[in-house]
Amino acid sequence: MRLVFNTGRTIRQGNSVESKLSQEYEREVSTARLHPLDMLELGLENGDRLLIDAGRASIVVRAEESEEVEPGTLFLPLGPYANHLISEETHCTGMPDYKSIEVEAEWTDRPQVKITDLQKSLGGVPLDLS
Amino acid sequence: MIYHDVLCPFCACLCDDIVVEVEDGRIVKVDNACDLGTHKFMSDEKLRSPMRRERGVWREVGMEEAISRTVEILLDADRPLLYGWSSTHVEAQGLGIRIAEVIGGVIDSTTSICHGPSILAIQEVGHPGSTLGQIKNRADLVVYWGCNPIEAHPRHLSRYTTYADGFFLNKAFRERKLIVADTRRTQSARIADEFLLVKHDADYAILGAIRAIVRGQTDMIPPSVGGVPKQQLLRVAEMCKKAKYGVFFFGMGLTQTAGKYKNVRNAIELVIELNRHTKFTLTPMRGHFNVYGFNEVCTWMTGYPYAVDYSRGLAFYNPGETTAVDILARGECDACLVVASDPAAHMPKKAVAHLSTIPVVQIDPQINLTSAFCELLIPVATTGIDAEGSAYRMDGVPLRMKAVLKNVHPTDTDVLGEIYRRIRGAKGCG
Repeated sequence: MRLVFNTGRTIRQGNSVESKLSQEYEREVSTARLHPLDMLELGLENGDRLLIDAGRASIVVRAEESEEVEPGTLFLPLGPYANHLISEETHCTGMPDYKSIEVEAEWTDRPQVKITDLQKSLGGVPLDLS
Repeated sequence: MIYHDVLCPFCACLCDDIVVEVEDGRIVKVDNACDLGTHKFMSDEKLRSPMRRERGVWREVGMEEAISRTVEILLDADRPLLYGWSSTHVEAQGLGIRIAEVIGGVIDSTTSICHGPSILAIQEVGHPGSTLGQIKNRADLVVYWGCNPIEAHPRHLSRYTTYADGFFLNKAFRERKLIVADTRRTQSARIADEFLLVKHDADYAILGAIRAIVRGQTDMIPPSVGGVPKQQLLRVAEMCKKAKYGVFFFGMGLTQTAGKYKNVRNAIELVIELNRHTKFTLTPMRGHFNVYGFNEVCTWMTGYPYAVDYSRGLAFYNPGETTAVDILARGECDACLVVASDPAAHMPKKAVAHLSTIPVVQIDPQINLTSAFCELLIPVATTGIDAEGSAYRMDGVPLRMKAVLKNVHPTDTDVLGEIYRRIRGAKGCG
């Protein structure tokens, strides 16, 4: 299903922004909000996994229905999962297109990667002091 | 010990009425702060000692080794990038700019991926701004466009707009009207007197249509613009013209969508047009508590507000070329100093991936997503909690931030001051 992808802040993302290695942060920034009608069309229940494909990259996230989101759109809070789909092109402004890229979305049984796996895929070495 | 009138070091509302209770060197209670601020005050997930990564293995190191290696990295680099700066005080930001000048580096703040486009628009057509105090006491019409203050700036409505008392308003809550424009029916949209449901990337067209109506060109408006019916556009234009004092707040919904700075320019020009009928001002909803401060300091010291490149020996500014995402994505910088921010959590993956190929030093109170891409992590005191310093509120008012705890780690100013001193020494600057 073709959707317009959007990202931005949420209160739960903000609350956990001081502890980005926490499960709360990971859950919030990997939870996509979709309109209930789109959830129905995609055959999704709350908590199901959703594959978002932006062409240049794809990622698996958790789906949750929300009346805040309009049909035909998808909202994923600001964070590493959203960044995975965003192009580095800034059109000579310094600012990437964070808020309105077209994506394909579908139900999936593929596993969701952890933030630390995303970091490793980009060459990072996560530091765990726990 | 109870501290009153403490400033909150989370967002650029810079709420200055926080009450913090400290027992045995720990914050045990926070009053008046929102959820976001309370979490920051109560967070104890701090980095305890400098850490260094060599051949994929992390180990604790002393502060001396951390600082001397940082100096070595910065001196060795041909094109260093110094990025971040929005969650520290202005004194530290000034030191960052001095370091960039001495080493011929590029310095940019998180501005470039939040309200950078707003600054570009302001440079084109000016900024009809005002302080939040004026808005609180006078505004009878508040517009929030492309922002969701209930979730991103939770006390903005109660301190400065909808729920605040106003000196020149009899019954402020009833007198003030609220207009919200967004692509989502957010919590802020639910309390609006008028909610404009905007189609993605249609902000420019809608702002242009309202401008046309305010100029009297009503006939040329089609039945619907960007998903908003003409009748609603006429109502909104009339509300704006009839207001005694209107204010236009806006967020990433304008700066990160198609058109970017042109959207903001259109909003500013709408506000200018409305000033032919009434008093109207405009304020960007700045995010980090001192992101505005960086723009002030950088402008005093370099003549430009962010994205300044010193590689020519003098300040050069060209957003799109000298901005952090572009420099990282082009694979251009060969070292990076990250201060008081987390680019790996907020930049596109190609920019983040470049960090893993170069030496990166992070100066920050805690571990965040950028830490995994660093060679060195240097813990510092948190501004507004165990370090004092000055910061600028979103309306450009400078305020002094208190320290309520005794600092265990040096402040950003201590660490950057020592780095600057050693670099100047190595460069023979005395």
